[in-house]
Amino acid sequence: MRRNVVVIGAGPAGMAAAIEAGARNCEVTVLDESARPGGQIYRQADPRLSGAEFAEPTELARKKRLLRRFEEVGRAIDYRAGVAVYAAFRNGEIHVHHKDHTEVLKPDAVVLATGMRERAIPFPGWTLPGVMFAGGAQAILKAQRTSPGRVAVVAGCGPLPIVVASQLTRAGTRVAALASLRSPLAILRDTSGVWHGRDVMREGVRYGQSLLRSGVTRLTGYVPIRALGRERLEAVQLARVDEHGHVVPGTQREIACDLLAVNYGFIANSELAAMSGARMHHDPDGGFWLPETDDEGRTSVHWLFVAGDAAGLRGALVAESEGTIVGAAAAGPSASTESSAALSEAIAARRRYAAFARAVRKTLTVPAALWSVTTDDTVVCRCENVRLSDIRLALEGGHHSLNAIKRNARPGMGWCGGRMCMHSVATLAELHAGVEPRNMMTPRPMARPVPFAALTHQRQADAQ
Amino acid sequence: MSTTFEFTFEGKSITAREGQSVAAALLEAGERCLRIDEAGNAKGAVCGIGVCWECRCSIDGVPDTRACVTEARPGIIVRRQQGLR
Amino acid sequence: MTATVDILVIGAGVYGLSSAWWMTRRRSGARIMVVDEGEFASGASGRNGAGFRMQWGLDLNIQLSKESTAFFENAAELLDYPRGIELKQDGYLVLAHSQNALDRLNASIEIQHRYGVPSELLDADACMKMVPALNRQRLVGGTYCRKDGTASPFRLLDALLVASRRERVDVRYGTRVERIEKRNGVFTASTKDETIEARQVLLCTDWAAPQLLQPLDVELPVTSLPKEVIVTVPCTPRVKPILISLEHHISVNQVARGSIIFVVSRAREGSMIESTPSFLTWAAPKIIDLLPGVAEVPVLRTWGGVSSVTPDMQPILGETEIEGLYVAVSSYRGFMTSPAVGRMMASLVLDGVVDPVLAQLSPQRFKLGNVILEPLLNQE
Repeated sequence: MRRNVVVIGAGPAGMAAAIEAGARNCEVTVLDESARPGGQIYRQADPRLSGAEFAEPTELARKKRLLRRFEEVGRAIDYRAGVAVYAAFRNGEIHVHHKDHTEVLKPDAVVLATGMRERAIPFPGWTLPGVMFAGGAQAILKAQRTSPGRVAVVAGCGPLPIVVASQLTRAGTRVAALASLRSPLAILRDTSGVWHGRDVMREGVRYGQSLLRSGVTRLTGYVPIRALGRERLEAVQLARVDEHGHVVPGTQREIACDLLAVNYGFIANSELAAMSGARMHHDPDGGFWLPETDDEGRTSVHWLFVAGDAAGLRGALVAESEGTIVGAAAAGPSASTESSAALSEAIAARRRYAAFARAVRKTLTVPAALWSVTTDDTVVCRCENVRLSDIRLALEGGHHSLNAIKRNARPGMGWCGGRMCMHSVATLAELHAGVEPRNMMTPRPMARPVPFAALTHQRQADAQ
Repeated sequence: MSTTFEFTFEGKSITAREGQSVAAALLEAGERCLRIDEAGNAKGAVCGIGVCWECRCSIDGVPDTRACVTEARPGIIVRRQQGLR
Repeated sequence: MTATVDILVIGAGVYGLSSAWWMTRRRSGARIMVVDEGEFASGASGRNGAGFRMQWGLDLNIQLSKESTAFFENAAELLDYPRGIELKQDGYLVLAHSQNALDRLNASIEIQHRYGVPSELLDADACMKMVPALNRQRLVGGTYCRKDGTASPFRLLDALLVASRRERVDVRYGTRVERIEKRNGVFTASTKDETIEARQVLLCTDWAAPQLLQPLDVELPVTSLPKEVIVTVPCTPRVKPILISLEHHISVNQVARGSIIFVVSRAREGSMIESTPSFLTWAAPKIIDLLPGVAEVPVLRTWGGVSSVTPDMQPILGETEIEGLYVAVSSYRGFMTSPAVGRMMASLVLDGVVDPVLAQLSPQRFKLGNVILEPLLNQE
């Protein structure tokens, strides 16, 4: 009887886990929301769309290699594109939404490889059309072969804004300014980390070089403090912050643009782990709420494994190697040992790239004082229009847990399920009321909205 | 060179390339505001990958359709969602 | 560490806080403490349908709700809470899908009218006219009371909390009473860190009441029934009154924001708050059957709540066989009866006055074999 493994997410971690578990004679099902595999980092364009690639050739080569390997095992793996996992239960059931029906799976093991989403720091005007996440702008570039703006300001911290600014210029967008919280050279302080990731660093250098060549204004130490415009973004106000994150008075500059692409790091898509009952811990700059995992991706729930960024921000290269490691673990004791070479290679690769990831991670810390850009009347929960002042009212009323703040001020009650705002609510509660709402909100279905009609038509997976 | 076709947005004709999402085609055409929320705020695409639900618009009369994960098709009628409709 | 008070209220839900607040109105000078093991609104009071209706079939239930409705209508003023409790009175429409159910509604309406409840009997067409989104199939008729509605339990609890603290009631959260004992006429409640001495104790922990009473050899036939709730995305207005379908055991509330909240009663196994895997597939067809137009409306989230269950599904209110130890169990309609119950419990505890309604709901009634069945229960 073959072991049944479900992999949720077809990014690098998911693909690698599926390949490895398949190689170890498991029956593997891969569930992914997108039309094509690749996740975020290796997002593929629709083949009907022609156009240039804006990514570095070595990165593209990595992408193609993994996608080809995944395609090769295609027939041996049950790969389902365009489906959403909307619930996971402690009893091991995974509930999946296909367009007009739902399905219940109850595999022997689940590998959660759901990656991350971008972290926002709300500031006045950030809800104007034209203000996007940097990764979101990149997704439009990559997958849609479209530039999301004509004149852009790119801002934030870490490597992503640099890469996106460079890719935007390659796509023909005029990048008026790149505002980085820290100097991009700051990463070089971790020489060992940088050495381990030297192939990726080379790509970073090339992105940096093409940016310099394009004559982009580089504003180190600057952050967006206000987005201006009537019904759409027309300009961004930037200001310098000191090393603690305080805005320095008198340093404001206004730049006209129709796209602000901003990224302040990442939040793990770990909701399904919490829903499954896995023990979670808090890591403010590494993904916010992460499942506790061991080296092989095991959680406190015996059937649940987590691989890649959903277990903590470490990037695509760690994700891929970790996928192999966790896929092997999820496959359980297996008769097949053919893939042990792949496994040893993956273990070595992960060690190497994890050191680089640690160096990158340091560039993604956000100093607490930076959150002063969120003013009292800034909208924090976009879906429900909850402002910081509403949250402070709840805090002053003694409502300190995220559940209590949610019940009283309503952040997190809208369509996005709190994905855009609850990390902000938690951080702002700590900053403004000194409370530490470390516990996530009670995780419950639904992880995705699903219509009643689809819920009515539920199929059980074939019994083993 | 991709095949192109037309669809309408707020009565205007928008050119899209085969395989493009509604959001991408609208961004390319210079459009930014995809809906007006219940509080009167203009909203557009933010996350680009379908998790923020800000880009919901009405496509062929069906509201709450995310423009960034919906493929543009010839002749569809896209309107800014106004509040719940 | 020992604290000494006159009256200890255990449980800061609607029953506990309402009782405490009513006690302060008497200006008796009694030192009152309210303790709760959780945080604000973390119990059943924060997990319910938030509705109140006067449409019941038993005198006592009508009386409890009628008095409470009047309180809700004036809560902002009575509690000096300008923010208000988000009162919405668009009525309740109780639906009958069988002649038997309609007969029950008919009989109940007669009793309601005796108390001046403005309820009316509707035929199926009138129900459809009121809520065109209803499924006409099998619908036989219904009753509608325009004064029924909803309010925010959080706002009410907040108002009661602020008002009680204003009158120097000591309300402590995160304080779990492990044990109650009585010695020499004085009660001792033990928590992890301290003991609280009180002359009188009012237990308002609802379905958990037996836990503290068993060690005192007081039997209270209370169990719990988990409920699950489905909340949709905000959608276009289509249900104005609150709907109750006796056949489907579902209540429907479309809130101002646009989301539709379905409270579904289903006897089931499992822990209190957790969502059950089979719930959605079980509930979805019933919901579509009741309101066909919601078929394509997405479910946004689910949550769970608990109701207390008593042998006759009526509240248990009164003094236990231990003098000075009182109990108030809501039997699934705590929020909507809390103003009246609070007043009656305060009178009982402070002045020994037993309201006639209270007398019928005494903990002793089960020993006497007094089982009072309510015809308009929306439960399995």
